[in-house]
Amino acid sequence: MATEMATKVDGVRPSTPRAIVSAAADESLPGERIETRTVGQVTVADPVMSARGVNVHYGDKHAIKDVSIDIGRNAVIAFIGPSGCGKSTFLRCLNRMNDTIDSARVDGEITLDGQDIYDRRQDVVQLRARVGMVFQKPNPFPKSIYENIAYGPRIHGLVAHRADLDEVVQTSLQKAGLWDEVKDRLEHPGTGLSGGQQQRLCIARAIAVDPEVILMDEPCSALDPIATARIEDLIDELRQNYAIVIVTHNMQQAARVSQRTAYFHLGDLVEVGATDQVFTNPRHKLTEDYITGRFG
Amino acid sequence: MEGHIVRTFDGEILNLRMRALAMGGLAIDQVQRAVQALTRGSDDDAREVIARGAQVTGYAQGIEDELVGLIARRQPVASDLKAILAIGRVATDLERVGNAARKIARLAIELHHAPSGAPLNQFYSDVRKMSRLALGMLRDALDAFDRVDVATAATLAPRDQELDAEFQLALRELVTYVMEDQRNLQSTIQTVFLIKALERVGDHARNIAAIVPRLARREATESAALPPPAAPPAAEAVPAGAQRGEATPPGAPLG
Repeated sequence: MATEMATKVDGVRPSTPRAIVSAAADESLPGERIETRTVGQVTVADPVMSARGVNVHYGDKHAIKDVSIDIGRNAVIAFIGPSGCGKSTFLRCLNRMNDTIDSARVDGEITLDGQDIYDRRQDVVQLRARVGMVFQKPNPFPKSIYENIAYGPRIHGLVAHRADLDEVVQTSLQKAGLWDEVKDRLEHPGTGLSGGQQQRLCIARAIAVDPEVILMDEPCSALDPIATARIEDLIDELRQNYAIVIVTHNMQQAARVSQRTAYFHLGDLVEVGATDQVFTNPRHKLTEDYITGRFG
Repeated sequence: MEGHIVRTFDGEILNLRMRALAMGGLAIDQVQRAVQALTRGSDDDAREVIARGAQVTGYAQGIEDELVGLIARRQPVASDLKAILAIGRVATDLERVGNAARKIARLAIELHHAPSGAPLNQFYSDVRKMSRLALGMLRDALDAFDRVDVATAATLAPRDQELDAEFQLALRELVTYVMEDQRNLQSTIQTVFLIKALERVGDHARNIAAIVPRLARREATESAALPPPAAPPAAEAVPAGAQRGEATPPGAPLG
């Protein structure tokens, strides 16, 4: 499989002018993984998701170039990089959100628990329940707080009785750290909450369908520092149960919340490594320039 | 250290470096004057060194305040953070050099007025030699720090050993001196403290030089490729890729 994939990848990108140098393949998984030109450790032991040789084209634009990376369980990985570097595009590949864009074409392989999520037999609605998403601007449904949470479990048939649903709503809101603030007004509209509360409501909504992975696309960029701190604290708690992928423009936030950091640049995954290493000893000059504010 | 999008940040780091270097100049001058005060028998010079000690401390405090402000405002990371912390460490070592100079000046005054008459004149040549070594080390260490000159910085460790050897030698001579006449005991102890202070100046120079390779690490990763990966099992399967990455060193396995 490795040979096939590598050949395919070679065909997509015959040459690169940039100095993106080699990375070690994961020694713990001999023969299983193909290596990429990304600097750092792209693989992890027992990943929940794995991307191999992923390319995304929007029409003629080559938005993601041969990206391979693993998403580890019970850990937060941050995608950083300048605007237009492809980090959001790649994030959206992980639950097939790019399917909704007609001109987008995704090649390569992305697996969730070893199963190809781009397989023809994959139910996309089911996939998005397992790989939930939280967006930049909180987007609660124009319904009650209760209904915002209950919607997902109900359409996915996860609960049989009203009492079960009540419990899912309560535990989801508790896990999202919102229960105490809203338990007396569950019938109030979700849109009536503050921005930070709305974002936590959206996180509770994602949790309610019991996902394995939560994707967060700039989840705090519309929030004030206090609400941001709450979300960051929540992210740290949530990783006990979920894998979290967060896209952020705020490098300090990436440094604070993540255990691994991946740096994207013009569609390439330039470097990935332990967050401490990336922010203290970045191995690639492009990473160093970006995180130190020298990116021109 | 330059090239930030926020150019005032460049200016702030540069300013901090200049202050550290100016502090270094003052510290060198302090040691030099203190040794001169001793060998020329000038209490006035010694008192001036003691009085100027506050300036050295002032530099150290000013640099620390600026460092804290810079970290709070700019949240530097990676090479910037290391460079800024390095300036702080240099300032700490220079402050101790300043303390050593003050100690030498105080001992000089005490030795000038020692009851046993002409105090240890024969050791002045040892003191001069040690101060020449120590000051040369300090100058080169600061210069290596300023220019991120790893080669010069590497000379400091062996030179510090040379200075230590001089110190041991002088110590042995002093022991014989005190054995000749016990009335020399007090001035001998004072002289031991004095040459110990000079020996410490060498240690601080060595500390400063030890920072330099860490500052240079980023330049190393810029020019050289990363350490070649342990040959991955799939490497033979994808030989075509070996020509793709221009930065892949020849002969290195595709990674």
